[in-house]
Amino acid sequence: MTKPRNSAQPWRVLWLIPVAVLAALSIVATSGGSGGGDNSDDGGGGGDLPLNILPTYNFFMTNLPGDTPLTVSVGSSFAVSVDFDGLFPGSVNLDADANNIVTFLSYIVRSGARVDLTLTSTDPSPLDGTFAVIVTEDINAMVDDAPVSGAFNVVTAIETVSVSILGDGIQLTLNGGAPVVYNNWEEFTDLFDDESQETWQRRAALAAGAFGFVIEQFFSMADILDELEAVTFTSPVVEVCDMFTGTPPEGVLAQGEITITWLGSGELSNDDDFSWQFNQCWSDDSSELIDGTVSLENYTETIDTNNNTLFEIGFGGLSGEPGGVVYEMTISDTVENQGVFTIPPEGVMTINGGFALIIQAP
Amino acid sequence: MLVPTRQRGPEIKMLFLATLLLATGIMVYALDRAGAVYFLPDWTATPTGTAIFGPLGDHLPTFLHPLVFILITAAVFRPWLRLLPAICAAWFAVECLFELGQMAPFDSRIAEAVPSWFDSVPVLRITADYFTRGTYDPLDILSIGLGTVIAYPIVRAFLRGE
Repeated sequence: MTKPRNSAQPWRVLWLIPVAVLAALSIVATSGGSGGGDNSDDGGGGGDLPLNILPTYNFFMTNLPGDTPLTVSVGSSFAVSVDFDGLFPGSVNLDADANNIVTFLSYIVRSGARVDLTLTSTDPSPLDGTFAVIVTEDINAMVDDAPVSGAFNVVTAIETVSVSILGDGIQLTLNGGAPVVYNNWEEFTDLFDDESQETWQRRAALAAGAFGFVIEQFFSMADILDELEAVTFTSPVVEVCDMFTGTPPEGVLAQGEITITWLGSGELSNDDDFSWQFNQCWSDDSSELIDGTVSLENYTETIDTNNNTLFEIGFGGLSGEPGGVVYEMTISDTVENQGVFTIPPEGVMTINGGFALIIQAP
Repeated sequence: MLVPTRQRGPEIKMLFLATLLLATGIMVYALDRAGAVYFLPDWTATPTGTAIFGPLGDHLPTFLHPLVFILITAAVFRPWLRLLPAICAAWFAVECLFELGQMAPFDSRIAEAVPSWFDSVPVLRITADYFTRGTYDPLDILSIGLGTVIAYPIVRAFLRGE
């Protein structure tokens, strides 16, 4: 009878270490990239060819390194801080014209995305405290519109509110109980300001509002990305804002301006910083007055030189690298009465902290 | 006195076959996928993939990878035959974990856990990209399984000296 031989010797087990390492590296190295790791940061990999921008990109938001969560204070009433739990993932569909000016069309916040919100009121409120907002089904929406589908949970230590975005309304359930349905997104989010409503519903409305705010900030920052290279040619770039259509609030300029300053030199390259300053900039469309600075730190851009396609762009990094979008600004509602604009105290929103933002090819 | 020496033929044959299969997998990336992967130099890039392997190329690398590494493991470790199923199962599990790691929400969780010093090390710096850019595909799991299953009789035959 032939007995199979075995030559296994104890020292041979050591060979498994480099074999395992080789296996892991060979799997990871199949990831797309810029062939050989020669990352270009200026889109020059394709010579004079225009940069290709894909119709869909993933995006990720995460906390800034250190303890500087995105925090929004509303008047002297309350403050909400947003703590991204790891990476906040999503994707965007976009249209890039012949000059690579990008228009964002729609977005998805992916299931599993989570933020922890902490509400702190000046006067004690039943809403105070920290709660988690966890996306349980992909949330789909057109840019600047209310979500059309998806679901998320609002979780405290003692209750879970499930919010489902349905075709004909918004359905809320508390701990799996009887559903409560609202006709549309606005009706649902307005619950937060209605103190006669139940706390769990107001908390869910706050969660929805915070989600909307985070997405709005994402697109505000993403929208400027395609302008940054042009800024480096004529930095600083100054744009005038809308002029007040009446008497501006006391101490406010009749017409403010926005200044974008590139803080780098030579060519636009990774780790460059930009300063986006709003000097009493009023918008006729939104009736909002913006004042302050958004620092765009540690710009990152990677081109896939194999096909001259934008692979990654953003500020900061996903693994705790320095940089990101850092706010130090106020957004104030303005109210017009007989041609005179004023700013109600409860209409002043102060934004501090920020997030890192990376948009990446799928 | 004559001391019996161990035959090294099976190991060499397994390593040769592994190299051949590995080269096939690399060709899929170089030819069908326009060289758009990290481990290939820029000069291999083509404007579009030439699709020499056709639809087979979509899953051939994930089929070949466990097969190759089971062969390599058997060649360097020369295990008892009874250990072979465990080796196959271990590689199947490892390969599946990498594939599953590309699925949301695991992809972002893993990317978040990647230490920042990876950024300064070639190859390692695209670790997060592998998970966030890669797309989980159940057919990849199937091809990993097929590669593992096919590896078993092949390696068994080599180890038995057939």
